[in-house]
Amino acid sequence: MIGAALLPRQFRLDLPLRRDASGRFLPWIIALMVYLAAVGGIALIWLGDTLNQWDESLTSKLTLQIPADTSAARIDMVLGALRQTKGVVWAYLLAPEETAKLLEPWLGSSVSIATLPLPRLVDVRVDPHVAIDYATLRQQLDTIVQGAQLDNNGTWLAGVREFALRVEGVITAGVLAVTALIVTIVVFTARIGLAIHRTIIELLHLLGAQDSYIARQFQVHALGLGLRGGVIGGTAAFATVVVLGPAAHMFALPVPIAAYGIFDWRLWLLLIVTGLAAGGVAMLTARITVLRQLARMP
Amino acid sequence: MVRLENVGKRYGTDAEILHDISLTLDPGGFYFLTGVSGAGKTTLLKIIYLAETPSRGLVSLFDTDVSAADRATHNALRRRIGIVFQDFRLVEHLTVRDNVALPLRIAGAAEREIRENVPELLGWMGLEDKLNYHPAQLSGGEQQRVAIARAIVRRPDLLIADEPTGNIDDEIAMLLVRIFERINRLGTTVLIATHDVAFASRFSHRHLHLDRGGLSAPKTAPGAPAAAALGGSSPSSGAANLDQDSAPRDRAEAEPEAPAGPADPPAPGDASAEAQ
Repeated sequence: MIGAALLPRQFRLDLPLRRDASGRFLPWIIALMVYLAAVGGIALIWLGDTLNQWDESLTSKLTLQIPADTSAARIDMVLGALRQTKGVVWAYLLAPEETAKLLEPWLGSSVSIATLPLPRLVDVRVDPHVAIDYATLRQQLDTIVQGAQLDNNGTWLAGVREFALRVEGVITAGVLAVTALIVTIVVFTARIGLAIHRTIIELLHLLGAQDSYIARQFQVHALGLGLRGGVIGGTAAFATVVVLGPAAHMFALPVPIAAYGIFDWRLWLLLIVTGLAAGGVAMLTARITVLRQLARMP
Repeated sequence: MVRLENVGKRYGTDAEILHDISLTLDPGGFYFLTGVSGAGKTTLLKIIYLAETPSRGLVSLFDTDVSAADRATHNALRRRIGIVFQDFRLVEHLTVRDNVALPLRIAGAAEREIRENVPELLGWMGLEDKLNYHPAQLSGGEQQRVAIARAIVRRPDLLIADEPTGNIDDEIAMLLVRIFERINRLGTTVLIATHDVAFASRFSHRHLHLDRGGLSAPKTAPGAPAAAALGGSSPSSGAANLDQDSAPRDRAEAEPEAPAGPADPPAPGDASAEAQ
């Protein structure tokens, strides 16, 4: 045990915990948990980024449709009304050619757009920080041009945001469940360890060892197992990002993690925090379990 | 030092294994606890080294009422006691060095002290070349010496040995008692349990005789020192005069004594910190 002799005294174990079978499977179980938690965390970051992007672009973008037969004067009035509305940054009337260009992918270039009764489109940008009373605005626009349609992405986005919140909730619950599982496994491992090494623990007590001295051995051991699991799980999560990142790029998915790739500091922070948390949770759990069990021993 | 008053012990609803035990062990005293197998010696020792709680009666260790003390105090009291278990109870996966270092580590002694003092003590016990052995690699006699080294490494106030002379031949048993006497001369109170009343009678140390769970005068021990400690205290008879004992000594097999002469054992525990 030359290796053990070189360890600082805080990591020296009187109990042969490192030889227990639990030491072989526990890191892998913790690794799986850490992997799930880390991937969940990455998904949360991605979701947050995506929502922020949509927030910036979609909440500030509106489209106004004006029926095809509206006169130029009416259109000017509508533009004027829009520009005078507080919170509207600009309102730009798309030329029929621009509208046609937007439709081209669907209609093909051979169709003569000029012959179609296309509605005129107005690209409206609003300040997302100003609350606009859309009901009043719609009413106002409708009195100028009957049938004018103001598409507010905000309504649609609110639905997406609610969905995203639920996804966040599910992921958070998943992370909590993973933590609870690690706690449960460590509790059982520590209890098994106490049972296996009962004779030595009794001896240590008879030699005057305080409960904390014995608990320290278990917590050091659990910390080691937890960290090992954290490293394995974190590496696997990292590999997942490396593999899936470019794939997301290929499909032009708005995946910021993939865009920043492995250089995103949040990815590293997440992996480090998850790994350390696994070690910390395992260590604390072992300590509390052992202290509680020892208190029942004579 | 150790005071028991009307101590009784029973398991469940069985008859008492020990009844009405009253005794006092004085500081610096040397005592034999005799009695046939099953007389309750081990149970009595366990009560003294705080492995068992008595069913009734008062136990006082180092002027502390044990029943009123909390868990941490019990552990602190235990650290002042060295125990040589009948089955040695060495930790199999630890080396001889680490087994002996255990009480020092538990007490929070510095590793530097452990590195210096443990080999010194093991050298005194004649085990200097076995430091990195594991218990399974040692003979029974060597294991016992490791167990003794572990019991005395912190120079305890009280040393308890349960049947240390049980399965060994006479000469080595005498040698063991010599070792205990030396430790005793350093101020440690010694209590040795043995079923061999005749063996104990060869020494002029005080005897406590257990007979069917109660203390009584030993039947075959010499009259004067026998049962001197029963129910009260008296000054130690002193261990020094035992050096004049003419018992045979075997220097070849298990003589742990340094060739230079009767050097006192090193006492690493002196400098060790008392971890609370």
